Amino acid sequence: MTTRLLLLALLGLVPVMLVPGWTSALIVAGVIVVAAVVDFFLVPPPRLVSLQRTPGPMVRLGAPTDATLTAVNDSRRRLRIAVRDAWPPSAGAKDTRSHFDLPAGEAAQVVTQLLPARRGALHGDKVTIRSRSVLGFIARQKSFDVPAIVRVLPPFISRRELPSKTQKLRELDGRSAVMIRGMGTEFDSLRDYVDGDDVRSIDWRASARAQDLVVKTWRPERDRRVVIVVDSSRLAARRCGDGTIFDAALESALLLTALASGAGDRVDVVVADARIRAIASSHRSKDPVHDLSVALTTVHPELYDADWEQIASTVLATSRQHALVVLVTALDEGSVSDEILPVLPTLLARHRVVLASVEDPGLGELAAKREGTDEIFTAAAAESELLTSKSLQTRLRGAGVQSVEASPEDLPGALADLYINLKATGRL
Amino acid sequence: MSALIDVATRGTHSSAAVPLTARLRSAGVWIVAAVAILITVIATMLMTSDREADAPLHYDSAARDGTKAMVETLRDHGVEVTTTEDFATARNASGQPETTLLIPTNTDMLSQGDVDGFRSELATHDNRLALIDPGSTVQDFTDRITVDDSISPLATPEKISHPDCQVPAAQAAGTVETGDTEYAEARKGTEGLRTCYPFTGPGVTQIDGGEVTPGSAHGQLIVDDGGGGKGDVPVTVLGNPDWVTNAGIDEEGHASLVLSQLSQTDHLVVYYPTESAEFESAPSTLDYVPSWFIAGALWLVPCVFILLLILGRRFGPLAVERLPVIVPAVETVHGRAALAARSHDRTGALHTLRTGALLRIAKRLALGPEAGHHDIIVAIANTTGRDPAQVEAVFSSAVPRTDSDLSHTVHLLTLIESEVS
Repeated sequence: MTTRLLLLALLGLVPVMLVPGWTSALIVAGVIVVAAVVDFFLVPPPRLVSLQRTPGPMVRLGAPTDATLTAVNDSRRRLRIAVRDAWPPSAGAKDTRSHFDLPAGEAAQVVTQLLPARRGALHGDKVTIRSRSVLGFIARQKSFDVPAIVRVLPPFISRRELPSKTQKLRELDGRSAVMIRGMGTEFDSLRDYVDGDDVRSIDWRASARAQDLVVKTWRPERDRRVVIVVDSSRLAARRCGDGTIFDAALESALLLTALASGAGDRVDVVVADARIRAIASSHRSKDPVHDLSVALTTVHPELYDADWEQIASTVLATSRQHALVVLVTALDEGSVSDEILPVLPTLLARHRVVLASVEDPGLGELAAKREGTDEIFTAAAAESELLTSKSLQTRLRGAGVQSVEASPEDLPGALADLYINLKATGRL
Repeated sequence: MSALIDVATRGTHSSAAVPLTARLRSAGVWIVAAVAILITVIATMLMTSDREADAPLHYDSAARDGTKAMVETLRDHGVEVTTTEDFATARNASGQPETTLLIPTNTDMLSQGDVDGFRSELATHDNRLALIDPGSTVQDFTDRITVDDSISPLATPEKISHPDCQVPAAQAAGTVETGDTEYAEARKGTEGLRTCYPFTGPGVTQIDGGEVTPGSAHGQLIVDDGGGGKGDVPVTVLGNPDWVTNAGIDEEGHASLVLSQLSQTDHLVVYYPTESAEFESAPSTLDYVPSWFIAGALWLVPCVFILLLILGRRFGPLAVERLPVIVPAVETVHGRAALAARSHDRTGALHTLRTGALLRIAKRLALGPEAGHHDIIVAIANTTGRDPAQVEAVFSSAVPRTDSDLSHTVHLLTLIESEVS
């Protein structure tokens, strides 16, 4: 059924109205039905088209990409087809419909613009072909699976903080020894003395040789190990702003990876819940942030509890050397006291452990609203949550674990500051 | 994954074949709907036909006032009975030789044209017309018979009538039950007209003043062999419907009388007049609309149907979105708050809020972890300049007994906390 058939039927109005009566109406209806049936057999079947989808480049969330659909006419008939290149709503596909007139053996391409609205592997949906003949009274259609995946990487919004954080790290670099000297710094190079340098950092022996004042410079230690553990269990699936807590955790992991690998440290990222979901390493990687993004793309939180024993053994297996282990998880009383605290000693025996968690901004708002009685009770419940997480932080500090808790937007920066602080004080 | 990418770059089309069971499941709604419509239509048809067959004196009605027993008995005795509700069929059938036309009821539904049609058909073979208690409409069929209006209104006829005539069938049948109406010859002394079963009993006298002259032949059964004039048909009038009904035919001599009257010919046509379109008299608005307009309007119906089909056809199935798992975050907080509110745990709620406030204030006033809550309260009183007793009450001692107490204390708490800055 097409618009042309409707037009034909409307055209039938003329004879029907000129010669009113059942006979004329039946004759006109018969003519239309015969035309439709004949046309149905004239329509080339949609399966004569060979389809191919070429996914466009992988992009960060928020950036546009595309997918190319190629339709090849393998048959010896001329194909007049309408194509719907269907994508899930979150793909943000525009103009998914197109028309082709394909002579035998010809091919046509259509590029569908995509603006993905969600991180992850974006699977193309079915491609529907609607075919018609020259007459075009009847259209036949069929849908085909044409697999294609467009990868949408995490947005990495916090990369705008990267220059300032890197700058902070650089300030540590090349400073005269006194300012930062201590554990965790190593000799870097000698350079000419300039006004303002600490006189205590003058290398007298070198100055004597060079006939000029020379100072020693230092830089933070390099080639340290950082292991970031991102919890993808049910606690990470909590809604938070536009996304989930897991998205904020990924942001933090990405910023820390960018920062630490830029500073010459080796970063390993483990994403795990009841099983290990993804492992990525900056070792021998040209672009660690990109590689990590790709590795994390397909991971979404699942409704399982995290298996911290397995996570601990994975961390131990990842790095035999002393490492900074960052656990990005939730400060949930049950999981921390029952699951994390028991495995901490094995981790602390060899590594320095830091716990980063996303603070729920909703809690603070609820705790501040105190108008009616109901709101007071809600505020009390929210306050109790906040107190619990504070006491957990205290317990963790007692166990020798530093913790950072910040809102989703601030956590990446806060974790980066903690790293820089540790680096500066040589506790890495 | 690599296999998927490989497949994606090479391009394939997999079959979109759907298993039969799935197709049946999705078509289930339509199948059920079709069956339901079918059942409704059948039920409606059955019910309507039942209703028609229940009509009084209907040849298919097995009810007490039906005449199925009579028709079937006549068939059993070798009379070819044609039953119909269709005027044309009845008229054609009554034109055959050796036929009697029986119109059991509803004679008032026939127009004069219909009656004339019957009369001309019957006249071709001198066929007989039988009427059952036609009332005044008998005059539409013949001008030789009329309703007897000469009987005194004070008359109380006997329940049983005797033949009292020369018709052999009536004499053989004997007595019959008396009905409500009596018929008489229209003009006194009409030739070839025999009457039977006249009203008898106390007070039955013919009085003058009506159409029928006193002394005319009268009775409940009239057998008129026709006057020999053009258009005159032989007519038999059976004056009491009870004689032919399923309930009454086995009483007295009814069966004998009726069956002998109706089985005189080889064929019997039973015509049951119904409301037909020919009786639609009042012209409706449609009659004033030109036919080409109606044809065009009706033609638009299939056009609209085609339009709906075009608009309703979806271009492929809906695209599927795989949604990630998301857990509402502050759900537990609301749950706990509702629990506390239901159990009126004001002390617990206030304690939590106090603890939170004290911890924040201690941090703001740079008091170390060793400071007890008394130290903090003293510090608050010093900073804000409030009465230490009031601060003590708000932050430590006051016990909220009602919700308004709690609300008041919490507002003070919040106020004091905001003052410390």
